[in-house]
Amino acid sequence: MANRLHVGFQALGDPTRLAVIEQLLQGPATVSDLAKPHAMALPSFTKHLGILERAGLIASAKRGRVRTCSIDPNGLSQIDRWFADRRALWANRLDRLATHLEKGTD
Amino acid sequence: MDITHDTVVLERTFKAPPSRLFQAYADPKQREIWCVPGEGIVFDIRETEVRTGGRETAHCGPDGDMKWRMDLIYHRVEQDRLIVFTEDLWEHDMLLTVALITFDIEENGLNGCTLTVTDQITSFVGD
Repeated sequence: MANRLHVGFQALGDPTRLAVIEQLLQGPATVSDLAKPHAMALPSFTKHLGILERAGLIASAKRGRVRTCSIDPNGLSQIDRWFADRRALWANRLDRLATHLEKGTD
Repeated sequence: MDITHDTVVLERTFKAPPSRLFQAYADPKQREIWCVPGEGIVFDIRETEVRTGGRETAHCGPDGDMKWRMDLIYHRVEQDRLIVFTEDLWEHDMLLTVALITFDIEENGLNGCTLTVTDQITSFVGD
């Protein structure tokens, strides 16, 4: 789990790969559509897709000669959870602090 | 080694003056009540000096298994105004996280205050 998370964060730490994730959050897209906005050779671009796929963040399927990519919901939710947990910890503490302060026990 | 970084900022307004909020932090008996990390977890502040340069050791975990230890250093404390500390979280002899945490307290109207908590954390376990 920890390893997988680390790979996930590494995978997102690149502007091209982050842009791909943002685009795929709108819905599945073909590799050539995903590559269009990026000024790089296709082999370099598909390397980025490979990193995202191995990190479990996206999935791809080939139909004929067309490869389509989509978000792998499990991969992203793990990263969300890590960020959310620390935020949830403090939110819970501040809720309890508010209750404690309202009791007015000095 | 798996290292991840995160920064969490929360702002909250309370119906209590800054002095009351500061006391709720500085008094370990009060803080043990509201700072527990979750249901069924015991939080025990063993030694604390909430002042600039002061230190603190706290233990926590499920009742009967106090497996986590927090070592704190208070880098800057201004009464009723500011608390800045670092927190090392250990599980037995393994360092899990290091965090730099700031409590910024501002007066907000009569008998009110706004607290901004900024938690900058590095995790060595990813989770």
